[in-house]
Amino acid sequence: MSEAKIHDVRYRPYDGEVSGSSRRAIVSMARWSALRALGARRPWTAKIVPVGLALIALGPAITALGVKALLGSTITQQLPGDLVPYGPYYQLIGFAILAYAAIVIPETICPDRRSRVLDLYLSTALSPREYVLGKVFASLIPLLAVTTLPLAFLYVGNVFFATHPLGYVQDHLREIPAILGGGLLIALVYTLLGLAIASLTSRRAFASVGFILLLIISGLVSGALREVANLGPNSRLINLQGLPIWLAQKMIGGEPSFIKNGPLQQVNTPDVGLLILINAILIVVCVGILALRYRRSDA
Amino acid sequence: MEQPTAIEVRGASRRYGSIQALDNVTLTIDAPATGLLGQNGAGKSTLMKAILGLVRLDAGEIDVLGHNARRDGEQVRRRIGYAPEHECLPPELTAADLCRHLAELRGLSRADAIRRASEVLFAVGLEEERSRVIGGFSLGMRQRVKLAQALVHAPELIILDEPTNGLDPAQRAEMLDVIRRVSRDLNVRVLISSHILDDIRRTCDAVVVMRDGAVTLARPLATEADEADVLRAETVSNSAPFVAAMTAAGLDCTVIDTTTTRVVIRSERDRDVLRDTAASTGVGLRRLHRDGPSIEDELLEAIG
Repeated sequence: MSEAKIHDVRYRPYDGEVSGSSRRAIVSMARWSALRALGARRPWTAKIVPVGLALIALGPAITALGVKALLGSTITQQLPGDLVPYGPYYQLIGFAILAYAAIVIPETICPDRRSRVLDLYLSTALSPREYVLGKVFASLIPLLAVTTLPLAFLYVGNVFFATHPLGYVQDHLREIPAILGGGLLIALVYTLLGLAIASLTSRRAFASVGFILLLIISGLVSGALREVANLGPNSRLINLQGLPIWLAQKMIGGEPSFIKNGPLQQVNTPDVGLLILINAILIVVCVGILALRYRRSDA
Repeated sequence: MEQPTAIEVRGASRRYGSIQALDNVTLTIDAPATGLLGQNGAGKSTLMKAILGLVRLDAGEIDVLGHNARRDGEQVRRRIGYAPEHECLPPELTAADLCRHLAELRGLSRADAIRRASEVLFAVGLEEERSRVIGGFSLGMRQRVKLAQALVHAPELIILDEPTNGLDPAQRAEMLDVIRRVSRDLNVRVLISSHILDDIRRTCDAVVVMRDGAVTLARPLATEADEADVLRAETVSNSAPFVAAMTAAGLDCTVIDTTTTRVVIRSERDRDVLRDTAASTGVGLRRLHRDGPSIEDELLEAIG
């Protein structure tokens, strides 16, 4: 009797479509990296920080809209100004934005260097440019949930609770692009800054501490220049804690305020033109660092 | 349709400081499975990275599947799979997720990536563990994941850099079986580097030996002549009856002198015949040893 064997390896030659487009590779890189940074398919402890910070950022909007829902729009409309105005909102959630950038963004990029997955990625058709773009989107889009979503949520809520919703939209039409643009600006600057710092190390903790130290030091130096050298509002141009936030705030309308010796005081910040210039320089420097760190070293 | 030559290297040279990693390497690789043999630092990994278009050559050209590796690097990498030597897997991903992710990066749609990930993990024997995170895998399982991800986009050629490094004997044997199956059953051409001669002998049809960045030997492995063992049998008394009986049994014998005979052994049966004939003719087998250098000797000399 002849011996017969059936080998089922369930492996078929693939004759489907293989796309050569950069878009698919970038989208895949962004999606998987964002899911990992947000703690998807990982224990609940990995989800606490991103979800918690997003909720903190939404907190003032939820509170303001909750008060409106409880008291009714007739009472709240008698209050001078909005319960939570759009402009200062960024300052209210500044901590959440910076903490998110410091903690979550390194998660998208550091583990790849640490576990040397980068070599594997670059052995596919993925180019370093596509890799970095994927990481930028993986960091930027979730950060938009902290910078843009709360204000958008507040805006929609305000429209919903307004006595004349259409009239509210007409009165606050210019806030729509300002909210979208301002949120995007803050997210973009802190995404690139976070990625640039994270690209210098394979350790997430070092990247987070480095980001926080850079913000603290830039704030201290800025304060020292203002107080000691009496440089005026332009000394704030090196304060990375507020650079994109002040510009976004000015886009919406209104000057930044600080708690200093008591209630909120309006402070002088640099001109819009200077803020745009310095933010642009910051973006270019961060992109340059990323380009240097992820250039193909040998081919 | 005729397949293009897998790899053609012409005068490839690459220097790192004072080290000549590749020294005017010229060779053609087209066997179903080719072993790249050499000691650590012989230039194997550099050659593999040059084939992938990840290392810039100082001189020379490399064509892979009909494409120039330097000019069309992305196109080359899209058609081949690569498993690096070192640890390179994200520990927090599952095997299935990693294969899906890399399939998408190589241009497969999301639906196709899911299906292919399942197929390749089955093919390398990780069907049951596909939903476990890689961080909990043994070294042998991680090597299989590396192989699976290299296969996920159905490449025409896969390049495996030291795939048995760090494996225990049982894991190593399993890994070699899987690699052999990939080249024989799945019809994927394989280039495998190793510094272990036995790994190459067990998996490959051809071998390229490198030393100090240069190719010292390139030859097919499993020819009939290689598989036959030529032995020299020395007997105590005159070997004439022994030779006559052996020849009658179908063995190829050459008399060297009255007590010495060259015998070609092509199978285990031939060995049994030799032993039994020596006993039945009573010639007294004094010494039995290999006649001339074996392929191992040749390879070991080339490795240096």
